[in-house]
Amino acid sequence: MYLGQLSLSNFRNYRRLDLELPAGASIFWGENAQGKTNLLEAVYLLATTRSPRTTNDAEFVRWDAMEDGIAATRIIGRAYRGRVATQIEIALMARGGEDGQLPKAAKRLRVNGIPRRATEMIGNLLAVLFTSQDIDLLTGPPAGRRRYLDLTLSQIDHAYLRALQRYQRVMQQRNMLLRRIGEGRATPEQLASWNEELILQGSAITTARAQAVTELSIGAAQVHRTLSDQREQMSIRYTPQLAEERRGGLPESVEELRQLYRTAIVRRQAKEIAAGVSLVGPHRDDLVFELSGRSAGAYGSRAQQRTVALALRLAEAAFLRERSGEEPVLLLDDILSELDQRRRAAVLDAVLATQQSLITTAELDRFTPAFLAGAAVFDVAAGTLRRVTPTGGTAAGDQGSDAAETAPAVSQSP
Amino acid sequence: MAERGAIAAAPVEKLIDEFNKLPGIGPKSAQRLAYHVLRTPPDDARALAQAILDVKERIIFCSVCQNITDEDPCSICASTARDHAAICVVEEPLDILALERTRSFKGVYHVLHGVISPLNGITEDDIKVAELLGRVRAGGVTEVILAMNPTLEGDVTLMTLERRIHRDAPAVRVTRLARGLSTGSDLEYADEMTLTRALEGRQPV
Repeated sequence: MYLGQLSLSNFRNYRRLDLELPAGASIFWGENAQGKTNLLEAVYLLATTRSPRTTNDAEFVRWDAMEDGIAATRIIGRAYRGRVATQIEIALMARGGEDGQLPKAAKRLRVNGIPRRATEMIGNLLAVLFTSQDIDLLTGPPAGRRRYLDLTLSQIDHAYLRALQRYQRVMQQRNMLLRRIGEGRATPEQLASWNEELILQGSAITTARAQAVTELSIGAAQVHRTLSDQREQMSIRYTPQLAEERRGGLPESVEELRQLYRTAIVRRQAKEIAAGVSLVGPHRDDLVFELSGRSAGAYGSRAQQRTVALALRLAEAAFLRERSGEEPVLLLDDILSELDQRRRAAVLDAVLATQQSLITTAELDRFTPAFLAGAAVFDVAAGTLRRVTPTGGTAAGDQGSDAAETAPAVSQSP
Repeated sequence: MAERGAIAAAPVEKLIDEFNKLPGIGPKSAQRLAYHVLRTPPDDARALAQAILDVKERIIFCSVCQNITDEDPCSICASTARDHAAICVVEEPLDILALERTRSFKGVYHVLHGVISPLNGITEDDIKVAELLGRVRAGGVTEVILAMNPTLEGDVTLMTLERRIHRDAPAVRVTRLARGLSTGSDLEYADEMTLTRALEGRQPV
């Protein structure tokens, strides 16, 4: 699949952008802070409805558009699956926060013009985002790794996304009830129904995560072998909190898993009431990235960690392809400059193997002339784009003057 | 509201403000309603005022089913034509109107006046659960139909009621409404969740 069109209004530093994107590789070239990353973020938002960078949607709104106190931000994409196009749209209405508070935004999603829920929007565009911060997945807190699993799985498993949404809602309700019980305004007996719902959704989440990590681990190990000198074996290990409850890890059947969950909840009831929050469940899960059985996050060198993160992203692309039967769009955010020859080659191989890639860079000379000749190159400066012909001595470059020319495919009204 | 304040007399202003408090009525609609009342014959205006007062002063809760009524017990609970062995439990009085329109339910009702939602400060003690259990325990009931809305809070309320009824009166049959496609709708336009439920609840033909 690929994204054929992208329109932005009042998104971050873009006032208005209407961009036609070809299949294949597109390179967004420009200095720092010109809007390259924002473009990829917009595409990632269309795919997942969530940003890799922030959880506050109001941040998307172009800063000076907020001056009137109210602003509308819109991201519209046209995703092609074969010849079938689907229009996906995210609209944000943001209101300026009063008295120095952060602005608040309400998000509306549409598919082919019809208002839809996130569960119905996600999956129309699949994307894998590679960034130089991917290394944080290994070294950062567990929340980042859970978020990674959630974003990846949600794209191809709607039942997972629904379970996740429902689980979060159950947690909010249940935590409030725990607090009320602690204050003597409710009885522990009232937890029963919330527990059942928590166990139901939690078990579904744990099962789906375990399966996905197994697949990702196999894929990542394979990729890792081609990226490294094969002295180490990479693996990804899912460490659900529930596995601590039982020797030998998670049980095989969902029924046993629910029973394990139930036992764990009952055992910690007093603690949960004292804490006023739910202490058992997938919101406490974690992942460990290992090199020959040792945690790469804790013991790996910077270079080793980078390779593991890269292997993970490449395995993620294969995972999405495998599960959905569709080619995901690869979003490479300025990652080529930090890679050596061999790893760069592996990434560019993946780019050639997929239907569409959107690549940001500050330096065009990171690419071979042959690669540039087959790519569409866009110059990004201060929130405006123009398509340029690369001056690489290619056939296309020889035709006119070397000066950049504006292609009709791009139009904007600054 | 400043421009309007300059042109409307105080009593009109007051009426506009009162209409504006109603759900679904914005400032513009409130103005339109107020000026409409201004033009209506005094009798009509008095009838409207009286109707509003009656609702507040004469409407009570039925001591059996907790529905709103002007006589206790309400007409459904007092009816000998209805099957008092089957109780249909709903969240709000409006749900009864919807079910009655079907003309296919001949039993009686029980209104909870809400669903369990700790976030809104509502536990099972804040809705009419004890009253329902009292009716079930009193005997003569063979089936309780739980007709909650298909939301998380509705589901949790349903589960809680099921457990409570089962504990207090194990012989009583507890059922829930089917979930799935609405009649006359198009498969193509059904949302995923509904379709999944419909598949799960498929039946032999």
